[in-house]
Amino acid sequence: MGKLQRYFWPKSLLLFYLRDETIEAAFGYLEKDGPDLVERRRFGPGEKGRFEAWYRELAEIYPQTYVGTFLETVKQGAFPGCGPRAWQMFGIESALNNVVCIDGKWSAYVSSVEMKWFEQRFKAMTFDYLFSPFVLLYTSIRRHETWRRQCCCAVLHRKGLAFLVIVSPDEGFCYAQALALGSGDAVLDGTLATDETEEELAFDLDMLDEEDVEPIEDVDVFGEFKEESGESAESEAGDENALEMLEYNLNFFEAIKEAIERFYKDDRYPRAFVERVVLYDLEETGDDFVRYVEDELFMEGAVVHADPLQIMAELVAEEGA
Amino acid sequence: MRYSFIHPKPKRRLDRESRLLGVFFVITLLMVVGFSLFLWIKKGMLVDEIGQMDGEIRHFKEERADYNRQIERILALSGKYEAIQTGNTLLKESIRNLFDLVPDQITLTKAMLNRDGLVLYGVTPTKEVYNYLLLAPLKSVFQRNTTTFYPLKNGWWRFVSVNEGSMESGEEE
Repeated sequence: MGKLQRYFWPKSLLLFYLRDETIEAAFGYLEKDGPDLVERRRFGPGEKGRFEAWYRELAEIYPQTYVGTFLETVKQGAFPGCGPRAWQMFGIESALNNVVCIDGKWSAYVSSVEMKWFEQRFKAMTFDYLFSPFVLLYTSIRRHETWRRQCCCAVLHRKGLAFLVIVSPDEGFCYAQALALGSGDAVLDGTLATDETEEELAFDLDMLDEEDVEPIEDVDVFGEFKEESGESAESEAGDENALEMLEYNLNFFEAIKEAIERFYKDDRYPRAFVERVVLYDLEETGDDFVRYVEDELFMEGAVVHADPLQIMAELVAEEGA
Repeated sequence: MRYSFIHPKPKRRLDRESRLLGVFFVITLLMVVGFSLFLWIKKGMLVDEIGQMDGEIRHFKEERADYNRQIERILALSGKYEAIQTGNTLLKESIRNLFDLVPDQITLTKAMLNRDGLVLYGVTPTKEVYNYLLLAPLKSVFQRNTTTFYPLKNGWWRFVSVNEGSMESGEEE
């Protein structure tokens, strides 16, 4: 049947995700040989109505249009294991959370309230698939060969928010955490936020002092940045932007570092040593982050261009409409 | 394998316009099928009627042939009847003429009239009576006349008159 299928009762997909106020959306067909995204559109701030109109138009033309997105809320997470025992171990209340078991090995969850809130933001749309960003990350990292050799920390990042997953060759899924960036602190999922707060931060600072490691804030990274930026930082406004970007990158890096430390410290998670950090970046954080990872954490760093729409399309195809 | 927090909602296969189009198409199809069925049934009925008509036509043809045969027979009978009627009339006339021809003096004992001629048997007092009163008119009617006389004890004569070649029939000697 091949591509002919799209002319006879096609199954189609409308996938999107939010990047700040921007909506990145794609339309495609679900075919036997896999999903095929044929059109991508970007809706800027204030263009939500236009996006919903597009959805209505597509739903009218293609009644079998499945709508999917991934939840970019902070109150979500993932933990190893499935079933009530695992929920109990990580303090997840099934009444307050939606939980999905992946591969029978680990679970992703999201706060029911936040999920409803997200759905309410797009009242005009009927959602068919709501994915956890951790599922997207896990699926992406498993497609790369490196995870079979090294324990990887994969980070999906967009401005102000990051999702982190640690996958090891032996244990598979190990750890996940949602990080709210900007303020410099990582916003943890419900379980960790209650268990570990000030004590852990204190421990971090102590550890840094004991090992006589120069805090990242004190490193003259700005100087390096200026050198590299060259002519682009000539104006004052440019300087301010560069400064803000530097601060943000440092906070981002700190949040990642703290998340990894939490993983090492928490006995509930499998033991693994992170050797590589892969950044699936929706922004242009890029090279600075990799440099921090390599210089400060002595790990391998890599930036991979993320295409959540394509990953979601593949997940939909795998799950089956 | 499940990855999503929610299950996909069931979807309609067709949009509203296609469904409307489908309904119209189905209705049209039903009408066409219905009309075809009607035509098919009607055709079957007509074929049956044609069969019946053919049977009736055959029957009527047979009846007509029968009637024709009867008409021919009746016509033949009628002809025959007319011929007989004519023959009888002629015969009757001939007999009447014959008896008109016979004078009172002569007594006929037998007369044989056929198509070829007339044979008379009788008794006459004298040959002259016969010759003058009976033979003369017979000669005017028949072309050949042969008479044979036989004497009787009382002096009269028995005669046998054979007359052939009626002038009316156009027979010539």
